[in-house]
Amino acid sequence: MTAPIRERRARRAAADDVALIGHLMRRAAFGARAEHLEQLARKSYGAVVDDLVNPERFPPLEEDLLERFHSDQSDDESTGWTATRWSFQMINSPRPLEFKMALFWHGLFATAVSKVTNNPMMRNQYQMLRENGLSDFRTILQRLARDPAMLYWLDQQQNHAAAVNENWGRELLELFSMGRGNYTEDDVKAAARAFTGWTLDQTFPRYPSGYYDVRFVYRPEDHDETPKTFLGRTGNFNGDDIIDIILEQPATAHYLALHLYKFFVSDEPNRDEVEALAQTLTESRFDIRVTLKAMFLSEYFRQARFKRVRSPAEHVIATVRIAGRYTNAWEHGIDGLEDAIGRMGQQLLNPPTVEGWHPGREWIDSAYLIERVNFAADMLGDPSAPGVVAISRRIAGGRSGIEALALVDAVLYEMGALMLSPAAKQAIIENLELVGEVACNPPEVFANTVARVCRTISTAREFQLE
Amino acid sequence: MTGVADRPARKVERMRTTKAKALWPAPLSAAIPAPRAPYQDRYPTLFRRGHQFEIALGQRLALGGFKGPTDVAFGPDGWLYVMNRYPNDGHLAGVRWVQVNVKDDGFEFEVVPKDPPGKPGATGHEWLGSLQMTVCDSQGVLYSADEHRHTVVRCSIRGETLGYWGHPGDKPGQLNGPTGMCLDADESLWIVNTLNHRVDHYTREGEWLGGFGQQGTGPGELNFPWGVAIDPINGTVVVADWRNDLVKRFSRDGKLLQVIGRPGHGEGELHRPAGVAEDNHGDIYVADRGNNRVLSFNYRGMFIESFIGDAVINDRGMQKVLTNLDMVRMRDNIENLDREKRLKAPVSVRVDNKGRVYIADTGRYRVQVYRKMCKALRPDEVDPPTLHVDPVLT
Amino acid sequence: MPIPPVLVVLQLSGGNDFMSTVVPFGDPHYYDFRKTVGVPEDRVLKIDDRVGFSPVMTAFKEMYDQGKVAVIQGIGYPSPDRSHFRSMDIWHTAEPSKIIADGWLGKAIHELDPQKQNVCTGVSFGQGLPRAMYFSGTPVISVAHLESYGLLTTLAGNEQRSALNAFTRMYAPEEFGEASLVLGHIGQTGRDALTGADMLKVAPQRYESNVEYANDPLSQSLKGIAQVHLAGIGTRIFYAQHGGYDVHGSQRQTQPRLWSQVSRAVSDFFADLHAHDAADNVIMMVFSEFGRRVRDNGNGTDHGSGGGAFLIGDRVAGGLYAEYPSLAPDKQASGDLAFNNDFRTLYSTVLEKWFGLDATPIVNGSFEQFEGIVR
Repeated sequence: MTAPIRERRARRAAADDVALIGHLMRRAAFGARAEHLEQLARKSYGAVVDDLVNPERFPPLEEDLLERFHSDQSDDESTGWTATRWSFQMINSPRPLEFKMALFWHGLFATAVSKVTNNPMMRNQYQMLRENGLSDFRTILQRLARDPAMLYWLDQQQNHAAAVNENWGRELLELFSMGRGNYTEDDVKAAARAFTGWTLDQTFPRYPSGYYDVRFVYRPEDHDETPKTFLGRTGNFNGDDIIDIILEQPATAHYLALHLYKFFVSDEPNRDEVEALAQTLTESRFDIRVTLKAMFLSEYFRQARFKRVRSPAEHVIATVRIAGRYTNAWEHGIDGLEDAIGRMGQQLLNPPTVEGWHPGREWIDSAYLIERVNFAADMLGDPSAPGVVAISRRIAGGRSGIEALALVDAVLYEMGALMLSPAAKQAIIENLELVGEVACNPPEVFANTVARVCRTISTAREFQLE
Repeated sequence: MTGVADRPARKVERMRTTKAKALWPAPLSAAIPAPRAPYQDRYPTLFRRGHQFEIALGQRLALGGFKGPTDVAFGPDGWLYVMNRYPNDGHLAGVRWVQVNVKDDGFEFEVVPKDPPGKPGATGHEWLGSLQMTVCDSQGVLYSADEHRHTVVRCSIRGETLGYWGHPGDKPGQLNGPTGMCLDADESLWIVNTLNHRVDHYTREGEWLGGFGQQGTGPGELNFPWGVAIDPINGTVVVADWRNDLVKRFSRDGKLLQVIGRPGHGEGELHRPAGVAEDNHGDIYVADRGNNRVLSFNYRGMFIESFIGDAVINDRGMQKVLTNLDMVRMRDNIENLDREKRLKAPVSVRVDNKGRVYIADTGRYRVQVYRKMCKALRPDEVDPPTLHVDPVLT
Repeated sequence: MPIPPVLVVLQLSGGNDFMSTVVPFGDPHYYDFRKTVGVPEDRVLKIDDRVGFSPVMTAFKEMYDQGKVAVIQGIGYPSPDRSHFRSMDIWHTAEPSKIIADGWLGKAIHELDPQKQNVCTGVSFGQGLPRAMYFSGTPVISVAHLESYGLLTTLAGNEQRSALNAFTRMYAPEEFGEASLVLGHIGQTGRDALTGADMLKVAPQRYESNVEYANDPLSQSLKGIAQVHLAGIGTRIFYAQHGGYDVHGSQRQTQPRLWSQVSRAVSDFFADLHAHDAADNVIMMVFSEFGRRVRDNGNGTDHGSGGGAFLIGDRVAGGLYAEYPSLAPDKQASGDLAFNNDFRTLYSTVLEKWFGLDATPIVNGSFEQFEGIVR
């Protein structure tokens, strides 16, 4: 083998590594430019996965500066502000999987401020999901069953021994753990009865001084102490017993596996692969960290590139990260991100119903698509955006010029090893009138060209996928 | 260079209190006249009983209500001007300052800045970014540093927009994230340029007179400083070193003189302090924002007192509650209403020359006012020096 | 029924104080409860000896006198929710008892154009798509500003042309052979978006009018609606929003400002349609998520429940509908106006009598209707 061939092969192998890690970072984090991916690729894929699922290895993001420089907005009562904090964390946290998982759980346990009203409760729920998101499903369900926002959202304060309200009991089975068809109406009633007495302390009135935290309380005197039959077992069950029994059901592992699969792997689930994931959940006693690690290391995950329509939050944050914007706390305008995400159909902390958002192709509707395309085009078409500047510098390197197709490929690579059909590349080259070799000098002119290529790539249909 | 001597501080205070009990209470305004430059050379000797809660100003979601008030300024007309944080709220759109009568929580006038001179067509929303701290000079001109636009905005107390000054940049004297501000005795302005980690001194017209500061965690350095106050006795500069969780006193040419407080959440400790003020006795008040309270220290840096908030429902609030019967019912079911008295994320604290302490209770949309209870002692009433264990101001 | 019937829905966000809009000055309790924000009797634009419009609503009163305004008094829904969001969702989904995602107008758009032949059947003006207009799988246009509506509109000239050309090619069906279902779906949606934008683009170009709208956002939205309507691209349901009605404080300043805007904007809008002989097939419905407390709080009013709505247009039989709720303390619902007609009555009336649609599946139930309110 001659030296040039060896070198080319090595380069190709390196590019493959970067592409794979790019895929991982889009799914397990919020995307990264090649600059960052190349650094990660110095480690093995397995080591990168290991770091992602062990966020404690990295220091938490310092957020006080964000609040300090947005003191005109930072207010516990504002859901917009809580969502803005979340945006900042998704963009900048060295522990991205925590925030990705918060997004996952928020979608699964959809709770909306539209009914809860009290934003400190919503903020606390978000905090709870984020702190426990990588633990195990039992812990998470136990926390959820004690989460004031969730309890209020599903009328648990009206669930009394003498007058049962089934809302929480039903959704716990139907939407949060097992899915329809795996239990009977009697099981719903039994679950609801087991959770009687699980309620909130007296809500502190918002007049005249605003919202206060609300706490979970258990009132034994309001708990139904009579025996219940739930999923074939009989006993004087309390709420935690119900959760334990739920976790013994094969349907539960399958339900959670399906949701994890759709969130991390593909909009179109493969039966065997979901089954394998359910198996991992069961074997690990629903350990989320272990399950995610197994999933990220699996062959099917590695192959599942660009198989998901990304959610508005993922779309916006990934785009911002390519553009390199809002990396410091005093850059203005970050509060516009949650608004943009909302206009694309995903108002954070305010999902339309307890069913949550409908992911996948339903994210793409003509009003939402216009918002998605325009947002990305504005963000990435800005030649002064730090990310675009970095991309154009790296491509220019020491060279004087670059051939048109190579330029488009290089920009795709720099944006995080993205892919585009040959026809789309051709459309870009022809419409931007990139003829022959594009000069890399002067740098400002070249940066403009790179920004135009970035912008056009960001309008492509493939850019809606990850 | 001194730190905080916590241990004996209150003992000394208590001893003095006991000794002079018969003299209590004395009108404060008569005790010490407001100093004007040139500065006096010594602090009075005091005993203090503490502070009495006087009034809570403003009511959430009501006329004259504030939204997240961040600071107050004292108008020469005797009114208080409260900086209103949110520009985008429906019924408070554009209101930046709210004029308040401290005596009865009366509201008269809302200052809504209009187009600045030379910027026809611009609306207040377009040329104003984030105003936060504010002062008012003896001519009735309100100043506020615009942290986002890197300017200092001027507006009369009658709502007339007078314009703005300032050049953004990271060189000394240029504005970069300006926030904390206070008036010197001659009514020149000291402004904290947070993103330059500096405190700068300007004339009211914006001419740069000097300043100091560099980023760091070392003793003489600043890390995203926020509030600033000028010592009315000797003209030294007191800065809330926000991210170092300390208050620091500097000479006017930037030499570190004293470190006040220490980082933490306990007694006399600071977490992300914001505003700072100093009264005519040399007592320093710090809006200990991260701990939801205000702390006071004496001029020697000894911790004196903690304010956690005492606001009880005022007339305006009561009216609010009574028109909403479900709220009345809910309040009746609460065992302990104490929580609503407390400060939440106060951004600023200011003192007037009558010994009143004004706390911008930002998170609860009100201003809490306290009155100082103290007495200045004659030399023969002062304890022998051996009892004094305060660290000496260098 | 005129062909084709067109509905404009105007949402007043924040909870409009109906008692300051249609003032019940004749109610013996009115001035007791409205010590601060009450409108003196001699200033009310009287409808009869009991109620009248706010003094700033002169243009509105004129339309009323011409018999073109139906005032729906005492509108609301059972178990009122005083949260803005939730109450608005209830109005949007026509479902007070359950939280659902689909909007009543979205469903109506689906019924009006089941084959999705016209992407412009529903057009909403304002920031973001209101849930009322959302129905899964039904394309609806959401316009912030008509002039800047569409794809890549922050670009100009050649820059925009080349970007749009690239977009068109990248979204063309043949380029991909529809290998992937989802890429095919994105492509179709992108082409719909382009079509909608192209259709709407002509509206301001074709438009000429002597009516001078005011410069406030509501007037501009209604002007945009007039432009799209006059362009004849087949829009059947329009949506517009006007905010700021949450008058906890400063009500005496805010409420009149808002209603003088609404009054003028609505009147200009219909004058514009008249001038173009295009008013005959248009009615407008005005609603808010709730009314406000009967008793003022000294500066303004807090969130209440029962309120009022309006139906406006040449085809509307003007007048007062339903009863103005009594302000007598024992007749109030926990300090609010007690509603006496369900909002779905109005919805059903509009859907059936105006659009000729079966209202039951859209409003999730069967409700009484106002007879003869539209012609």
